[in-house]
Amino acid sequence: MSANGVPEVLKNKGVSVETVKALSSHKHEPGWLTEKRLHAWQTFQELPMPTMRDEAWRYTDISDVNVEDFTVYTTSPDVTSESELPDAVQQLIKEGEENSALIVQHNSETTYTRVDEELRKKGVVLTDLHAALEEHEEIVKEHLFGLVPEDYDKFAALSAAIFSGGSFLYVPRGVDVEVPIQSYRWLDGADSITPRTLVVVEEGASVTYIDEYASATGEEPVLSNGAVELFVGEGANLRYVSLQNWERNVLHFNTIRSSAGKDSTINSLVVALGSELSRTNVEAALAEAGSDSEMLGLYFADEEQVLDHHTLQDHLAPNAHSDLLYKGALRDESLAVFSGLIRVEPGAQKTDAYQTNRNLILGTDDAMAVSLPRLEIQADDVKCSHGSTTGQVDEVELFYLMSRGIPRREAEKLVVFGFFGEVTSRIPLKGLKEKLDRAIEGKIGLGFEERVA
Amino acid sequence: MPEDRTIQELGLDEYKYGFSDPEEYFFKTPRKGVDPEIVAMISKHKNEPEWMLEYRLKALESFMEKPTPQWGGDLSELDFEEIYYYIRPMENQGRTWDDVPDDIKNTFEKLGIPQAERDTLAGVGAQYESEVVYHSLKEEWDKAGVVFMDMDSGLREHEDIVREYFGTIIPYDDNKFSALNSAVWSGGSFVYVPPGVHIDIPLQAYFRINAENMGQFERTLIIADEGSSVHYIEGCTAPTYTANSLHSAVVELIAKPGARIRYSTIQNWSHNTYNLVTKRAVAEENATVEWVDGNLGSKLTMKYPAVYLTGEGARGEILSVAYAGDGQHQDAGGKVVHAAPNTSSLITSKSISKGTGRSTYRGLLKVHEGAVNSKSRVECDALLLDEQARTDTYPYIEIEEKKVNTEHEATVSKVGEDQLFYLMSRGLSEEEAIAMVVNGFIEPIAKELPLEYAIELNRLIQMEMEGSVG
Amino acid sequence: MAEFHKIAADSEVAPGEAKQYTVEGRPVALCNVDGEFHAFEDICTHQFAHLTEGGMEGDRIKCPLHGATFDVKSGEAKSLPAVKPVPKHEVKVEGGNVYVALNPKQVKVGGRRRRR
Repeated sequence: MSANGVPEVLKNKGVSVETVKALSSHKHEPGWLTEKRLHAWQTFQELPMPTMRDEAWRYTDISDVNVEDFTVYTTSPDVTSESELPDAVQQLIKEGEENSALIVQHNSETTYTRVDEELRKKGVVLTDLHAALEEHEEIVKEHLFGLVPEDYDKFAALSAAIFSGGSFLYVPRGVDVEVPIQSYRWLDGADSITPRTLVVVEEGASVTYIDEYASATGEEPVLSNGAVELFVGEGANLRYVSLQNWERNVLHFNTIRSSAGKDSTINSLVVALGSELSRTNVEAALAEAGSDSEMLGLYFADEEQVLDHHTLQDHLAPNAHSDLLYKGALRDESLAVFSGLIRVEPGAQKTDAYQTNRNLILGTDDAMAVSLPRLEIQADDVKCSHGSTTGQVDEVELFYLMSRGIPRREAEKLVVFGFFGEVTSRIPLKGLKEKLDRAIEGKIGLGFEERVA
Repeated sequence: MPEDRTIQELGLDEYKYGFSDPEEYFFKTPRKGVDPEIVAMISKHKNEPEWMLEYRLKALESFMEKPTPQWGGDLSELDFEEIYYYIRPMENQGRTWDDVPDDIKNTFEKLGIPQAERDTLAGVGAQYESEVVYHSLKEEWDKAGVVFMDMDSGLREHEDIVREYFGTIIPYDDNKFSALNSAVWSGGSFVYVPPGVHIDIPLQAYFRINAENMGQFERTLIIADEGSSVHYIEGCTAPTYTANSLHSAVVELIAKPGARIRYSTIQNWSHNTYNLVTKRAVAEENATVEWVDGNLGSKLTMKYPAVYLTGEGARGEILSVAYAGDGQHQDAGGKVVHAAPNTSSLITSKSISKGTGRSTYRGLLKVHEGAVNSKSRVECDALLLDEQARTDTYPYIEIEEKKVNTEHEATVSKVGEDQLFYLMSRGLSEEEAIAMVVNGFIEPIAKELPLEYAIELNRLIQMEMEGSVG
Repeated sequence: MAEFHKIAADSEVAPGEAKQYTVEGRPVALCNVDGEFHAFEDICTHQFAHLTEGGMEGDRIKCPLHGATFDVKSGEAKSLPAVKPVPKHEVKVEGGNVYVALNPKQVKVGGRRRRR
């Protein structure tokens, strides 16, 4: 969509009722959505900005984040083929997983979508969220804001008020999508992005969906505020990957919530590598009996990065299973926060829930790791456990490798790869694994051992 | 089986045999609630030095300012205006063992509580043999220079030491309840162990005669000087009656270089009591502090004994066992702060939730920058005995140093059907089998207690468990 | 050598007072003890709180949250629950103005992202 016709009020910094109205009308949205946005904006204004006095923000300082500093809507040129996409995006696609459908959000707008003919025939829909509102209004209306409502928190309220672009994936009953579906969010020149992801996987269907966030180098702070809603029906399978690799000027807030139907399986992987500050809430509702959720997390913080993950394994129904593994490496002056909760609601008997967080502190001693593995159990016939460890590279392991003639620097790398291997080996996505390995290598490659000396 | 009478039958849940009738108090504040006038009255009654009065008043101000904590247990029904803040019981009230109701005597019998303790509990006043025992011990302690007295006497007789350390480990404004205690404290123990002195027999609060004992707002300060060692035992396993619904103690421990302090508590407050306690210790170079903490009674307990490892090579250990029965919430745990190199710590928490009981582990493990080669381990096990029972685990792990090794583990389980099946196939009733599993579960804590306490703990839990199957 | 920043006129902080200033995106406490100025990072080393929101007592400053005290002259922690000193900044008074050069050392209680 071109810049023509963009209301003036959207070109200014900050948000007001006028901004919200202008955005909604610019997108030709139905009345219910305009109302929703306005209500969300009111909710945003009513909710106080979280401070370090709030338990959920105890270690993460966002006191200087002010929505008034950002322009909420920035256009980008429409493209008709992949070759017209920015070079960097083409590079990401080339290095990424093979895909059967692709959607690219460039700044505030979706600029490119491709769905393989075979999928289209099966009724799979992958489209911009605004287009989905026109073409599939009923199903969008039924699900949008169902898992990340505007009163979830301050950032969810902001998302509901001013989201733009976004993606909608619909996989009809029984359809098995073998090749992954890929979404890219690309930022250059804009100072904010507010994407939403809505995934609806119907009964017995199966799909892999990858959300990837990347940007061009920039100096000015950028606000990224995402909301991801994953609906998975009875007996369905969803593998969802969130790969955050923003440049260091980005402040990233994201809430990913899933609801698992009877006997369904959700595998999630949440990766945080980039940004200056990244706060991600990952919440899995084991809503129906027999549902299963695997939650993997991988983060690597360096320099002055703050990477904060809050997870919830919400066992609402009996006989469900969840298994969480979040592993992180830290170096330099970085801070990593993991706060995970297993909640077993009354009646959720025969729950099997596990949670593990491991932190590896590299290089200097200036990094700080915080781990809050929590349990709230209100049913007695359950198996629940959690574990958390924090330490440095194991000297014994290093010694063993070095005794095999491997130089210390290489040996350390191997140990770090081994550390993350426990997570990456559980992902059956070759392209993604290679991408992660390269990113980890890049982070280690800065030579943490030299900073010790 | 007459021995199998339940705790309800014994009246321990309702405390209908109130030992402390109001008219027996010889000093009581003239009204409920607390204000500067009440605080001044308490201080004057005790003939305290001016600085203590000033300290109390500053603490009161802080208490008034601080909001009631919104985390932990539900404190919404706790009404600070409905509490007497100072009640001094009758001394030598002249009641004898014969006056004690039979059922209570039977409970003591069943628990195997030593006579000395029974007397104190029953408000009889410690006399008879205990006096003899106490006097012979006291002579020994005096000879070694050990000071062991109630805190009020400590302030009178050792003002300099008290002034130097009082409130340095737990500032009055640490939290709302430490502020309250600092304003209205009364009783508790003052202990000083000189360098190199090892006290073999545990110091027990009930040895102290004619002094305030388990006060509502007791204040304890224990200083173990270089290379000394002491084991202090607080409280008792029998249900402790209190007319008031709030117990809020402050306990400060200082282990000087090479010293060792073990502080054991088994608390069993009546089920109407809010038990909100601040306990904190400092372990200096190569010193060791151990908290052994058992919580059985109360409506709500919030208690997280802490050890600050401030000297190289210091060690801290916290063993916590909690039993939450119907309607009870035990919010307990431990905190360890590693602030020096080569320090080590271990927190072990075991909790049992029965009926609608809720047990919460809440803990902190902090490793400061520079606390290299620190080792820490936290283990939490929760046992659930009923479908409505609840357990929570809320650990805070904050690591600022890479040359560390920290581990935290927690598991939640119910009494295993296979375990029960095995035990029952050996001829045990279901009730006995559950009791045996529970005993096995708390074994690691029980074995750290002096034998008679361990036995009492086991019996007490058995009593609480009675009638739990059905 | 760290760079000196002019943060206040010497009349802005009276004896016995402590005020917060922001320097290079960091909260800086400036205290006046009997006419002598001291500056340090305005974050309690125990848990996140601004010390200047507490109060001064002589040469001590007290955290408003849990009562930890610090010696404002040395930065040393004087009572639990704090055990680590607050990083002291260099101070000079010239021409009626107070200048501060930041200590690169920062308090670690989380939330120490450098602000832009």
